[in-house]
Amino acid sequence: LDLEKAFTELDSIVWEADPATLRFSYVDERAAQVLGYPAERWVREPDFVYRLLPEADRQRVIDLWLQTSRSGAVGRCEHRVLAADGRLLWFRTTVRRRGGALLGSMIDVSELRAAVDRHREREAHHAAALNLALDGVVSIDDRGRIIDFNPAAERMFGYRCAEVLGQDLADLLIPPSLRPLHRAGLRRFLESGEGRVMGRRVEFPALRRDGTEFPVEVAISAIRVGSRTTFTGTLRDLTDRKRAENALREARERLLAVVNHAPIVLFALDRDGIFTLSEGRGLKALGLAPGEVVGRSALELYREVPWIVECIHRALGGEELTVEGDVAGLRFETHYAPLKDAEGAVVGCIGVAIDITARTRAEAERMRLLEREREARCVAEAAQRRWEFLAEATGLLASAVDYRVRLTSLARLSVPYLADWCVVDILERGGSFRRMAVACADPARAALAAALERYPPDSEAPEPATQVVETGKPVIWPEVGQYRLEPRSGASPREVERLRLIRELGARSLMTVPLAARDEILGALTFVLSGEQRRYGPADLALALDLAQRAALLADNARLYEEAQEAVRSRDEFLSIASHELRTPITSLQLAVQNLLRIARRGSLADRGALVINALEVAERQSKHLAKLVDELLDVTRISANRLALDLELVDLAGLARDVLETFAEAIAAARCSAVLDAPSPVVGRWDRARLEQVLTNLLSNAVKYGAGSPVEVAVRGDGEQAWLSVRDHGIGIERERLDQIFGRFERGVSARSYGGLGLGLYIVRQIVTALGGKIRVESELGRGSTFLVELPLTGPAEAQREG
Amino acid sequence: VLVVDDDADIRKMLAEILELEGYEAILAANGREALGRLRAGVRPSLILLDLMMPGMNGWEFRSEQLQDPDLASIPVVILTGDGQADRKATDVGAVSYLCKPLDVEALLGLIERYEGNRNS
Repeated sequence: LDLEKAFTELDSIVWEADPATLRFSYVDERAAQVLGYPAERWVREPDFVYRLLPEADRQRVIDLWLQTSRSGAVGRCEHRVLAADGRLLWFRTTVRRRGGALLGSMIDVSELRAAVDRHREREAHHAAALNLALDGVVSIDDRGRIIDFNPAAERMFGYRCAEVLGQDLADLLIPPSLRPLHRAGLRRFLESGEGRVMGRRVEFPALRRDGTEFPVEVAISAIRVGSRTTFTGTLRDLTDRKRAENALREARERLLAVVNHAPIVLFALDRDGIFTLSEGRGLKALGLAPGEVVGRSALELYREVPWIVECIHRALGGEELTVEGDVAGLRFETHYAPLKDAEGAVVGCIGVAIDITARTRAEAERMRLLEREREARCVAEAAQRRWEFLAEATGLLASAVDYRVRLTSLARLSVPYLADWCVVDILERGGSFRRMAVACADPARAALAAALERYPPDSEAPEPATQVVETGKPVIWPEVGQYRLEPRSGASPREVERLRLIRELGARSLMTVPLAARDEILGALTFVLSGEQRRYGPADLALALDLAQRAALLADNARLYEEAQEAVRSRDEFLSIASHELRTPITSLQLAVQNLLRIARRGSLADRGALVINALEVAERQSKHLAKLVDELLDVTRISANRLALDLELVDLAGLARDVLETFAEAIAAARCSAVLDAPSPVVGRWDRARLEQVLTNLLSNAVKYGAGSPVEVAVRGDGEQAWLSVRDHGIGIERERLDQIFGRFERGVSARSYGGLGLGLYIVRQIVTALGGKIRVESELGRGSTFLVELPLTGPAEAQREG
Repeated sequence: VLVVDDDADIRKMLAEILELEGYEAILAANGREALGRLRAGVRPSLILLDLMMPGMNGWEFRSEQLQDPDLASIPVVILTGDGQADRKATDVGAVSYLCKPLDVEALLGLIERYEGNRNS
């Protein structure tokens, strides 16, 4: 501090500067002397500080200024300054804050630094010199007295040369325990010229002045000069080497300790594969003790473990490798590295094997958990997809297009998610199937699917759809027995072709679910997998049932809507027919009346009696006809309102048939028909005579209307419980498709325009027959005629119905 | 005048009215019968044609009639019970129509027109 103060007072340059602008505001005159810049340049030049400070130090100094300006703490640093003559000088700068300005003092320390550098250099040199003479040299005469003791020995033993000269070496430098040995050796050499320590480097403990022992390495040479022998020992202090050796040994022991506590096996093999090292706690798991296999051949020991043998060969071939493998039921990850000599030749290999059995198990467990998690995710995703599928299906079903189109779309939507191909069959009113759609995921098989559309399920055959429609329960065949797809002997060509199409489409797994709504089976959805991988299970069935339920609801709504539309259409047609039918008698009636009127106006009523009678007959007949039509309409209205009143009595159906045929004889003749009654014996039941007459009349009038010109056969039979009435014509017949409709209101078997009548006859017939507890059915062949068969219980309608 | 109607009483009454007025009435119960008469050489000045008839209806009859060059030119008046008589008449190419129940005066007016045309 004094020195600095002295410098400050004597040689420092003092300046003042503005930290904001980095401009000097003052510098003392010394600046000009030391650095060669006149003081006014310091103050005048705005960026003088940049000129003054070399770039390498500039930022450091400016930072110091700013820091001092901010913190107020005194800042110090050493830096170079560029003098006006181009020299670089070292300065030590001290900066203080005074008010808003910075006050600095700069001392030229160039000389000082040079001196320090020189001193350091000298010391380094000296140290190097000292290092060169590390060996102590001690000489003794033949009586063991020290005659030479060099500076290295001085440092080694702690004696000055002058102190030891003439002293007994053994007393001073050899620990007491070894002194007799030393003296004996000396004596022996002098007597015999033999010395165990001569000409060799030997290690001895030596004694320092402070009484501590230390290891030395000694090489002793004897020099004989005349009769005198002197001995010179060159000594090297082994303390450091010993320490290093100890450290090395300790390190090795530590390493071994680590190795022996780690679950590893550390081993080394020579170039023949013989163990030279085998350590590590991992050995325990192998049932080996450390070092146990040293000296044995690894190739022999592990000849049953091919991967180890291979690894050893590869490592001894110069390859470094890491492998995983099992041995003795454990899994090891082993790193093999070849050991090479200075020339690069492989002299063996070293290996570290880590027992990773537990880790592998943990990994396997983790993999298992991952797999389980993945499975769970798959399940969740499948659920999500099912939900999306159902949502999409529901959206599809709710769209406004025709439900047939929607069912077709639904079938398409189901592939390939739910099926490889999918079939929609709808049950028609007559109990037969209509195949709405066959969708196939594979475009290449679309033609097959389209062909299969022509093969609806046979309602008589034991097909899944038939079964489902009958039982209302789904059918699932996880494995479709392929024998099912082979036609039985005697199968129809249609069946053979149908099965061929199914075989070509492929059917490995199948499920068929009912389309059911309001306790009614509307049809069936069939899903088929043709591939080998997937099979239907309960989850698929649940999804299919869900889908079918939605589709059934749709189909039901659509059917109700169609039925409603159909009813409206029927009613409109009925109105058209009714107006025609009512107008016909009215027209006749009106023509008759107008005719009479014209005759009367001409005053020729009396002359034209025949014409008058004709007209009056027409008027009477048509009035009756009108009354009958009105009754028929009233009947329909009553039946519709469930107000058909039955007047039950014992009636002979055979007699009734005879009576009706008699009254019908004229109409039958007019239609150029003949009627045959086959009623061999009376059949008496409890019925409503008038209604039964109506039934037979209606059936006969149909037979005559549609079977004009051909015979009509009526038959009556009874068996004690039931009565049968059949009416057979040989007329135009009824199309198969319309058979189940003809008993509806305003329906008829053929187009309304060709045949007169309200189209209510069969409707009324069925209502009456049903009210009497019976049934009516029809068999018909287009162009061949129809047979209506009425079956009535002799006891009349059931109790409940009668009371109701 | 050829009268084609499936209802016997209508045919009978129309025949009597026409004959009372001095026209000859030829009757047919459906289109087939009517065609038979025409092909047998009967050439009426007018055909009164009901449309809804069993056997061969009015539409079918017209189609046959128009395909036969000998018959195509015979004018037809349709007799119809329900609405849209106008449209139906146009559909089958009839010269006019009469609605059932028939008004005798209107009927005779029409017949007179076509009978007169032919005679003139």
